[in-house]
Amino acid sequence: MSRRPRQPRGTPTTPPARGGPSRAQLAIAVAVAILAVAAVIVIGGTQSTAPPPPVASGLLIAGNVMGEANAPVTIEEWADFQCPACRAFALGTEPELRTAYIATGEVRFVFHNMAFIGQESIWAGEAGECAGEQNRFWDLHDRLYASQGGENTGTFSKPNLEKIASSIGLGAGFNACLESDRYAQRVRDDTAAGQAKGVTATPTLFVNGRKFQGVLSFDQLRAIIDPLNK
Amino acid sequence: MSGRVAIVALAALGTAVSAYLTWVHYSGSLALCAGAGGCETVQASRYSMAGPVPVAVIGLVGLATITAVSARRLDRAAPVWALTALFGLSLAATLYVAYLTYVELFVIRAVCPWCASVAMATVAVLVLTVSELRAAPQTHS
Repeated sequence: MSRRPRQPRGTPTTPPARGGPSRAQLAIAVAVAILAVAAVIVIGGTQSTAPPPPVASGLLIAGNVMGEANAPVTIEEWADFQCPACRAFALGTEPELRTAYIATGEVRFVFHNMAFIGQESIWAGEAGECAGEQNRFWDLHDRLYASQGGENTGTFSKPNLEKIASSIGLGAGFNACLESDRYAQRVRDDTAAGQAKGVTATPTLFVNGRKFQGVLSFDQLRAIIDPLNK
Repeated sequence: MSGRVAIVALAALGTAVSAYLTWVHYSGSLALCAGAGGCETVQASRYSMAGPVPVAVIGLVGLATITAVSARRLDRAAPVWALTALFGLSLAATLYVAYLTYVELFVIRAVCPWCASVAMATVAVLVLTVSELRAAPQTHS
């Protein structure tokens, strides 16, 4: 016995639709599609970009080291200024870490260059060292991550690095330092030291010597730090 | 393979990749930079969010909807609105991936292969849908 397809009660019985939509229906579909996409792009484009993280003022700073020398916990980070994951750690986790642990003397934080993504990683590393000459390493560190763009696409070319540095008040002395490449070897040595310690990806943290790879959240880091502070 | 089945398959593929990218977004799997990678760059850029919503989630919802509508059309007795909706959705998706591809190429200057695969699947769905439209006799209303 053949059965007809079941129809919802109350709806008119229609033959299987083999026709296509009318021109009017297609025009409505096109209009809705264009409006929907425009709305998503406009809403997405008007979002405020994340504000630059607070500069490391009010903290004990010495070059690429932040915090009390005799802090019970030392965190050493190996990172590349061009690495998006390092940026995620620097902008997402570090601000809270600075406030909750570094400013209170519980953690000493050390940055090391692991400049492996390309030439612009080395230049950015050199820029950090040059800023460190004026004890502005961390200010530039924050600004570099906030300015991060594509990898080796000119974002961290020397002229751009000078512009980024000038936005935090670093001028002729910084530029001369960067042009001289006097820290290029130090950046390479830092990277080699990281490789010798077994750093294969960035960011890599050593918390009192124990290795952690990847972007740790503040809560994850707190769970590591607190037992060491007891 | 009929055009209808191909559309479902392509939309499902795009949905799967979008689901993966959504998982990557929320799991923090931007964990490691083990080499130069366009995906990490794209993912870390501000263009990975549309307001408060990750672009990956927009892709997941959009392509899952396209998959559902195109699956509805596997039934030959599917209503006309399914083809109209599929056309509107795939056109919107194509316009959006065209915008995102422009941003990748000329603003971020990095290309994420996963995103590119979603873009290609989306364009293919639109092309197949338009060919279905052309094959369907037009009704006048």
